[in-house]
Amino acid sequence: MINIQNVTKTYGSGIKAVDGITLDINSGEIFGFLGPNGAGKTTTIKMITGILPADEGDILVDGYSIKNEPLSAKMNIGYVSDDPNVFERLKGLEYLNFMADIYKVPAEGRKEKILSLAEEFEMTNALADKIQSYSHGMRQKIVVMGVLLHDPNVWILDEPLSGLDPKSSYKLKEIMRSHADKGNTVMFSTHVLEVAEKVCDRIAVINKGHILFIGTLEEMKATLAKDTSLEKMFLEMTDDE
Amino acid sequence: MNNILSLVKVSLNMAFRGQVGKKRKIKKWLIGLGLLVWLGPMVYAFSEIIRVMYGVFESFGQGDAIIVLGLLITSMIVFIFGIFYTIGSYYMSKDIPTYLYMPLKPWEITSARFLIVLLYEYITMLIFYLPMIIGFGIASGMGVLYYLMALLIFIFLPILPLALASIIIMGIMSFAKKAMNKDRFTMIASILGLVIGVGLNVAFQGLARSADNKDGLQELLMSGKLSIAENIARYFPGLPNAAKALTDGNFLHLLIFIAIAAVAFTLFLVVAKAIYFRGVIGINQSVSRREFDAQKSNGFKSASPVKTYLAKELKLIFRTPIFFMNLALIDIIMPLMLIVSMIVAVGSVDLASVKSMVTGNVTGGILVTGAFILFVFISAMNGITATAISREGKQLQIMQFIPMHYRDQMNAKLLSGVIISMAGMIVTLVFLVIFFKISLGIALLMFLAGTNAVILTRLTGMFIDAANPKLKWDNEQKAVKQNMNLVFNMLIGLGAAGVAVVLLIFLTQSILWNSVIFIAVLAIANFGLYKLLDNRFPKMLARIE
Repeated sequence: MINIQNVTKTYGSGIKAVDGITLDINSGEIFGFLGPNGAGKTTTIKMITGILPADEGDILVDGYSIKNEPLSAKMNIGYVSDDPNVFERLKGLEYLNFMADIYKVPAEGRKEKILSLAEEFEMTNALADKIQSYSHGMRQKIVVMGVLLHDPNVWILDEPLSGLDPKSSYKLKEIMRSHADKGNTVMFSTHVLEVAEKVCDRIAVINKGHILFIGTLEEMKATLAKDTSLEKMFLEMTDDE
Repeated sequence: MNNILSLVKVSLNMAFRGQVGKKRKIKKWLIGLGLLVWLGPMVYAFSEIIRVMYGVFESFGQGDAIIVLGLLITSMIVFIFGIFYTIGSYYMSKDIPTYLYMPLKPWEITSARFLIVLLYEYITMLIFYLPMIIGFGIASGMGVLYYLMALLIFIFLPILPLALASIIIMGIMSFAKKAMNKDRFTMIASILGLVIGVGLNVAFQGLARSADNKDGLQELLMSGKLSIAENIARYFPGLPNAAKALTDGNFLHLLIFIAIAAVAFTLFLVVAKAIYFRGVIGINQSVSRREFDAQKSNGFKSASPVKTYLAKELKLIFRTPIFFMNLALIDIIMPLMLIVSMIVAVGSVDLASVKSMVTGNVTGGILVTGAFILFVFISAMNGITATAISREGKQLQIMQFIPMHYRDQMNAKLLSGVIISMAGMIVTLVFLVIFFKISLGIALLMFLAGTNAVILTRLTGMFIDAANPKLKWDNEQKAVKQNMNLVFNMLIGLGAAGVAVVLLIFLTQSILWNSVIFIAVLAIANFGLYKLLDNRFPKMLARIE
């Protein structure tokens, strides 16, 4: 569960990237965070994960304040950033083991867990190679695997599907679904509307630091003109600003 | 010519823009000014040493030998740094492939690269060259012409050693095509280049000695028959001319010196034209594919977060050629060169008399402070902590989102620097202790002084880098080589060495006790600095956006 409480972030240039947003994301749901480029998606995600401090407000991750109890909050998060270029000169297995140590995954059962994830993502033979030699898609896979090792209550993904081939993309969506169905929270940002339409239980649309809409896609359709495509609705919404 | 200048300009812009924001420019200038003041004692101490040495040599009528030795050492510095700079700039730079498809002639690209490296060399050699020129100039009472000559020689001096370093590296790299692993090959090439360079140096020294019929330096000084200067410089083209130009203000010798530099540069261009592209094109990422055997693999072991973080830091340093060469190699090479040059020197210096000097309180004190000076110098050159945050680059956010306290991450990063520096230090100390039969007590004090020197530079480096890391880089080279934080930390280390030299000069009486107090003060200062860093580091890291 994520509770974003009246959070504001202003960058050095004086531009408010996120302006007083409040948002509750529940356990057991896949939540899509939509918006055009530069809308404030990544800034919000970076504040949830503790990468950026919020200027005002607070964020609770499974009840832990990212401001006051950052380590406990971070321990509950699995974060997949939009840049999968992690420690290129580590081998895949070394990276996974590093993440397992940092997130205190018990030694017992660790090997089985790594191997089963590798099997699932078809990465077993790549484990002994350096990440440097991986393709973009493989890098994304290894990052996702590193995050799933500690079975996070809250899974946050920034633009996770860009660069994945259809099969891997399908696989990832499947895993997101099953993770949420186990009572965990899955939140991801995207500007690909079809993805949101197919996967999300609820969505939020953000533009210029403000939340324009929170709810299900059906609700969104109801508030706007009928029979319009999602794309048209999205453009309508973000253009009004 | 225009093309070359554009290439140089683009490279310099890419290298330094982004770290010095306009807002912080004034602050930067102030820091730079402060550093210059801090370096004062170093320049002073250094030129004092040169002045005293001049006195000794001049009493044998060989004062001019100082300038030849100075030029020789400067050339060696240029050569050794040239090896690293060349590999990075000619081969590891990611913008190189971009130039390959532009309508540029090969010699334009290589000339531009050469000029860029030359600029770095000027900055590097200035630290030694400037005090040498000042010290000699004052001691021998030189006039304006001398300083004018010094400036001209400064401009042309690095060309020959840099051309030599470039040619050696290009020769080795032209075989890169056949190499499987680019990283490993680059590392081996750089070490090989250094070994060849040091080997040539040793061979020259050996030649020079055998030519003298095994006359030792001391006897040579006493006899005064043979000019040491000419003797040493005999095997280094141009150096005797540069020395003559400096000491006698002889323009003909200056012209010969410049002509030799021009020949060296031309030779570089010819070799570059022949083999540079072969090497560059050979550099390609190679993928090794093998079956993964989970049963045999022992990569699943668990460890504490600090331990695993430390292991990650060390692996990344040792596996990234640019990091390894610029951060770790110096701690291996410097002791090695020290040891080699001492073994080589055995023949020419009466070792027994040196060994007999290494007893008693006064010399003991010099040894302890000397150990500090040596290791503060070496560890300041190693920028492991001074680039610890910069090296993260775009991945800095990993530091920020993982559930590991900033303090623990800082400790792991500090430890990685301490371990690498201490390894080199211990090897050197063990050698010195055995070679000079130093007593265990003094050896222990030297160890403590060295350890404090290492810790000091690790802490200052971390402070500087956390305060203003260079995170916007697209290739690793920029994170370590074009990073002013490393230079700042080097200057701080040099300044500390300078302060220690001044202390040595002024506090010679019962100096062993002084050095014990010196170590104690250092330890307290280090502790205070650590506490301060411990307090500030998390805030500095959290602030970075």
